[in-house]
Amino acid sequence: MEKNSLNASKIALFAILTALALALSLLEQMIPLGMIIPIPGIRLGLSNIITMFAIFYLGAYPALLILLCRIFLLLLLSGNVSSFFLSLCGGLLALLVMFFLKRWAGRYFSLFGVSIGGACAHNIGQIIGASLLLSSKAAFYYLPVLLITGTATGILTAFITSALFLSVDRSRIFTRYHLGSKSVR
Amino acid sequence: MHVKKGDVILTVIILLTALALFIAFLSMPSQNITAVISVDGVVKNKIVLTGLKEPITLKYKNLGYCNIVQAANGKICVESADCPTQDCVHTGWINRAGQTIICLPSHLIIKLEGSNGKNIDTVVG
Repeated sequence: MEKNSLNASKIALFAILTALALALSLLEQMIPLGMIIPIPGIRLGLSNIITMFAIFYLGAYPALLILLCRIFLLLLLSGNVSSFFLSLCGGLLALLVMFFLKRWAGRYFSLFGVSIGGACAHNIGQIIGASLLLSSKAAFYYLPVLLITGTATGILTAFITSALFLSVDRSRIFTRYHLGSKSVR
Repeated sequence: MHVKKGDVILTVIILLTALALFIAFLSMPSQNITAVISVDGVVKNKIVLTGLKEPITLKYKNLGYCNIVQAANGKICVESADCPTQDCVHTGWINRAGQTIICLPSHLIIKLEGSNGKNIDTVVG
């Protein structure tokens, strides 16, 4: 099986992961985290689990594809353009940072470092996006709080993701369906 | 999954950055608090909050949303808004320099600025 070939099982897998990420995005919109910490766009970052899974098991390009599909579908479902823009800025920066951290994953960073870095990068990306939207740097006021919440949500998603990785490895679904190589962790 | 050295270092760096930023915000000049209210990046109102005698209610309409802002002695808040997220309302009263209320849907920003109070007559007693 060629590494980059897009076979039917891979397309199906990408679709499932996109649907899962979308469902997690919708789920966390129902969690009123903004009531406790009133910051525009604050969230648990549960869909980051899928991005991390895609980065570790499928590579950067499929991860980007799934991310973009999820964000675009969320726009169609919610119709919220400003949150679409924030998700896009946050998601792309998070993906970039997680990919680079993962490159060093074996040596310096475990899943926890990747997850925390990704969550904080997502929040920083959102602040940059908000600054562009508002044409003001005022949103950087939220940076310290968002760095702390990013660390906390990063640790939370790392626990969930490591459980996911364990069960995926145990099921051997990747070797059974020729879904590409599992990355070294 | 074992936690590695890089994880700990990264977390410490992030938390120290957050702490440094917190301290930077806290060390802002805290006297003579002024609220700078801007919509779409354009300053609409500047209100000196310190010593404000009577509460002021202001209305801002932008992008189809309406925010009702209330200013009182030394503090300001978004009293009500019809934006979907309500983050601006949930923020509540702010009273320290550097504090900010942002309503993303209506592009409203309320930022508090302070001065050192050197040129201001202080009333003692």
